[in-house]
Amino acid sequence: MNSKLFKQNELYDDVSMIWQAGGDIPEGIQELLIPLAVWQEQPDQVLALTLRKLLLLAPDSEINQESISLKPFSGIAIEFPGFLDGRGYSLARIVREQWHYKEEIRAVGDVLVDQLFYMQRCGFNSFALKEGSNPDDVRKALTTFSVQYQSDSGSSGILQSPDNR
Amino acid sequence: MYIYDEHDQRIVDERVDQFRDQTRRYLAGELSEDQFLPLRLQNGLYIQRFAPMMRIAIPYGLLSTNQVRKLADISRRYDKGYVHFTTRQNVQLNWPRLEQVPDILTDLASVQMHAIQTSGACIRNTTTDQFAGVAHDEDIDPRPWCELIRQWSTFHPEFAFLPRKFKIAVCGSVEDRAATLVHDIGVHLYKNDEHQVRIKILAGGGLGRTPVIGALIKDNLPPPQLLNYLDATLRVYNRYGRRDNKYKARIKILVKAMTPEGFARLVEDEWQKIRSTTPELNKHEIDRVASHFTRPDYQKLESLDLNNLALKGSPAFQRWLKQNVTPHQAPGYSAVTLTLKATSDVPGDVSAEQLESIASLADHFSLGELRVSHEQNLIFADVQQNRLYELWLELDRMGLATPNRGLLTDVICCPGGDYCALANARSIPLAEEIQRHFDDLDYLHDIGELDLNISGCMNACAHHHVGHIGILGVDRKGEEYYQIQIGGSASKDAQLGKIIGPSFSRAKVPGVIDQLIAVYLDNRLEGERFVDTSHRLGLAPFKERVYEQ
Repeated sequence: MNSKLFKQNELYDDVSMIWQAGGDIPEGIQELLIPLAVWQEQPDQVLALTLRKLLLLAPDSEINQESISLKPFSGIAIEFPGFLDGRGYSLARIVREQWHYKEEIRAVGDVLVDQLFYMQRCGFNSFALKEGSNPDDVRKALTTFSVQYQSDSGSSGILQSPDNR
Repeated sequence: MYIYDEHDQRIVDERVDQFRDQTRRYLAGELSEDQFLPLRLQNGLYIQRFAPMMRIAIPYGLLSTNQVRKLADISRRYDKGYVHFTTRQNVQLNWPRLEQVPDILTDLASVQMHAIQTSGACIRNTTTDQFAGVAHDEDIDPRPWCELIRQWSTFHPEFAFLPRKFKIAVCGSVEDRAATLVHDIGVHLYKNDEHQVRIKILAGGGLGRTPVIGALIKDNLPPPQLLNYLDATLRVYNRYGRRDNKYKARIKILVKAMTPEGFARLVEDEWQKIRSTTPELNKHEIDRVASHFTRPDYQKLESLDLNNLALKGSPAFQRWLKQNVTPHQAPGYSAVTLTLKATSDVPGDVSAEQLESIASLADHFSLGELRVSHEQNLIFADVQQNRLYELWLELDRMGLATPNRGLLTDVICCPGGDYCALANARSIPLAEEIQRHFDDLDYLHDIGELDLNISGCMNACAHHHVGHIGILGVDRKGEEYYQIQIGGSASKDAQLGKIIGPSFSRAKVPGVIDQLIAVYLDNRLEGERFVDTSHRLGLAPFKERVYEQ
């Protein structure tokens, strides 16, 4: 697991783990990432967990708003198995824009500081980062560009905004 | 042409700052080789066989003379004093130093240029017809649409880590001079019966190892929906395109696997969802961008009879006039192609001195603009016909009046094994041998239109599958060999060439081309080009002649 978490403009220790059905929860863990398959197959076990929970989506998840109950979850985590795998960007936009999801969307896995600007624009608002990440580098990365052409999860961009340039 | 406003300028300036910082962190060891790789690629920087290679975008092939002079300056200051124009309307430096790349980007930004997304698994430079805005057969000027697509694709947050590179080409005329059918997406602009602009989207074309002709996935798309529809198409590709095998990762493989109908259905569903939450392309923005591409203030001139004009000059002028001068929308004007294909010159290479001379001529003869074509040639798009002779004299003096546009010696050629780490074989020396072999201009003109494309490997940077004659460098037990195919075409009736048989050593290739042409000359009907005859006859007679004992 990554060991830092950037959220609401601050860098914290990452206190989450991926939980499989029946798995032990070590001391100090305060958040559980529940894989979609576990939630679909063992809902009772998941509902019995008292810690804060995020639903963990693999990049190839077939997601459908009608068939997934998000109620027990405080957020959604989207996994990046490698930093060149860009599927998670699309998943985040679908959840944020088409499901109108307002809670936390966290990028987990192989997440690089140089990717955070795009991730933020796709709807991510928390990022699991490697040990040694510098909060100032992260803040700088999140403000790399001050103008954007195209529409994203937060803005229409200057091409699609009704009030234009 | 399009002029940046403060937003556009700020975006490229901020990009330079970002890459300067990334380069610093890489050189300081804070970023690993792997982590730096996609960052440098998306700023145009490859590591080649001998040195880094830097690819600079020429959006849809348009350059101001100011920009041309800056390229000359950059090539002298940071490189060996020449540049290479590519088959995708880009320009490359072959020997820049990594530490200097941020400075090169700063210099480029000072003339509204950049190297953004010229490589990497992202949306690349958008290409179009080199005669856009002046072509006699044009329905809709593609340039505003190219600029809108350029802006939309620049730093698109969702599509920076696609399964593979992604190329979009736009066409607005009867003849397709942008090879849109062999692009990941082809955008065709047309007018419907009510004279409204509409768009067709073709997807899944491409060359490389698995050449495929693009399939129509959307017709009658209203322009304000263009970006939302492109978003939907790219999203389906980003989610479902293969990532396990880079040779199967292009969109063409996905479209084939899903069938074009199945792929189009998924895109349609996604588009319906996107358009319900996302604003359209702003109509004022379309107008604002289009206002940069209005018709220049042409002089009121009568069209000249070019046959009469030809009689006043030498045979060399006559050949040039016939071959390199093409029709224009405005009476009394023509477009002029400077082929960068003189024998012994590397196809597409231009020295800094030549660039400066060409810029001066473009100022003097062609409204201060220059075009770059995917055939690796340069174009003066707006030349007064009554000044053609004067222009020819200047070009001839500079060695830039080679009258071979569209002929056998106008070879489209990748950098090949002389520069590229991927190549199986060298392509530049072969191009030169062919040019030397076919040095009789009367014979060349008699053969007529013939696209010859030479790629040094499967990646097909010179689009050999769509050459009338296509040559592919292959490795045979460590030796350079060349496989030959015929019958390819990049126009609206795009076709892939067929391989004639086993490959040849380099020394044999010019002789083989001789034999192919002999079959054509023996069999051609009135008005038939090589490619037409090859389609009518099929492979057999060509094969027989070439491989007969």
